[in-house]
Amino acid sequence: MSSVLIVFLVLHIIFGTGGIVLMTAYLLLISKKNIEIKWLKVSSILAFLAFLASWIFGGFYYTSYYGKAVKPVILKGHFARVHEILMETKEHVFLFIPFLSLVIVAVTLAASGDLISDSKVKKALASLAFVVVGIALFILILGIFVSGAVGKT
Amino acid sequence: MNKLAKNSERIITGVTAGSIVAVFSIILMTVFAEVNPAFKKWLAVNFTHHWIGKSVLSIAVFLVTTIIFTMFNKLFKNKLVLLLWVLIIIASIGVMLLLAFFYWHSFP
Amino acid sequence: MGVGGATFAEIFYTKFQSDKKVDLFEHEVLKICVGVIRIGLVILVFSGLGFLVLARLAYLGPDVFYSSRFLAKMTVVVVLLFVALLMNFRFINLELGSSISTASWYAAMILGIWRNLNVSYLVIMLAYFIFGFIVFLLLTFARKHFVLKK
Repeated sequence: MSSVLIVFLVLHIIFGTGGIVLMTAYLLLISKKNIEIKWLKVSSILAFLAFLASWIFGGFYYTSYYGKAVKPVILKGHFARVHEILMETKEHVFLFIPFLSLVIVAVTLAASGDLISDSKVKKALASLAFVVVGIALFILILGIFVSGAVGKT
Repeated sequence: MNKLAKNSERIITGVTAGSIVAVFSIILMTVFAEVNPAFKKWLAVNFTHHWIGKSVLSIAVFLVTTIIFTMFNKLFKNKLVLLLWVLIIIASIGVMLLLAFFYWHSFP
Repeated sequence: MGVGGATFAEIFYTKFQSDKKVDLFEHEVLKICVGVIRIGLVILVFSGLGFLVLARLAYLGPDVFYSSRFLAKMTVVVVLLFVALLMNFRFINLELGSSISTASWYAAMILGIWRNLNVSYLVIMLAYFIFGFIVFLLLTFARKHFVLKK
């Protein structure tokens, strides 16, 4: 694997995990009694940008290297199902995340008054953030299992 | 409600509704590409890779539907909370559906 | 950091609870401990992923990633994250949650250090469950004992 691809893989992981941490921070912030709108806006925007970056770096690694060099190794080994089920799920479910996190950004930026006054909006947004964290963590775990299926040939 | 607040409400309900359609389209495209190899090939030929095709098309679906829903917003007036919950449910079910589908699809 | 933060959080909580109330200063101290634990959790996740990237680049594959020790440590870390969220939203009794959290930190540390551990995943999970139960009993005893002494 070239150094560029290694860097892209590492950045994909760092930004994806960073997105999870930032979205978790958002979740904790929005669940407080006294909401600090400024930090909600910051964490939601940074989480969205982190997921976008993870999408780009991971996408480049996936389309230019994984299919040609990693997938055949996994399919030839004892854990072919890891690609067929886990990687396929991961690569498609990941596509949900930018849209879900964009909604969080949009509502946080545009309806900050409601977040303070309307508990139903607050609860729905907190639930959406929880779903984003859950999905992203699920994808991270799938990624670990996919990496685990790549052994020496 | 002042004009800024009204426009904000239109935009955020439009974005939320657009995201619902985008997530739904991702699920549909994913399943369809697996059961119809011709569609998968079409994506690969036109976008250099089927996954890039799904990414681009989902963004396009999102943008188009968001613009439409923002402009024609009557249906979604005061429905932000409902839309958020629909998005949550569709995303959650979508994850389980895709996992189950690929599990089923992995058997010959 | 996580192990230290969790240990001192338990010690301080037991001490502060002895008069059956937590005043402002004690609350601030516990907040600092929670902050340290959160930072420890972030470092644990990122550093753990760093090790995994190195293992992946060395093609260590199933020998590392599917080993019972690694799978058990991943399970413990997931439990840690989940319990931390539950505690934050008060979906779990705080004393039970903190016992599970403390036991999990120590379990993750032991599993990280004990490189040549060679037992099945189920045996490790059983040991973890028993360890968690023992920690819960010890902490419950310590809290009651400390309160009674006062």
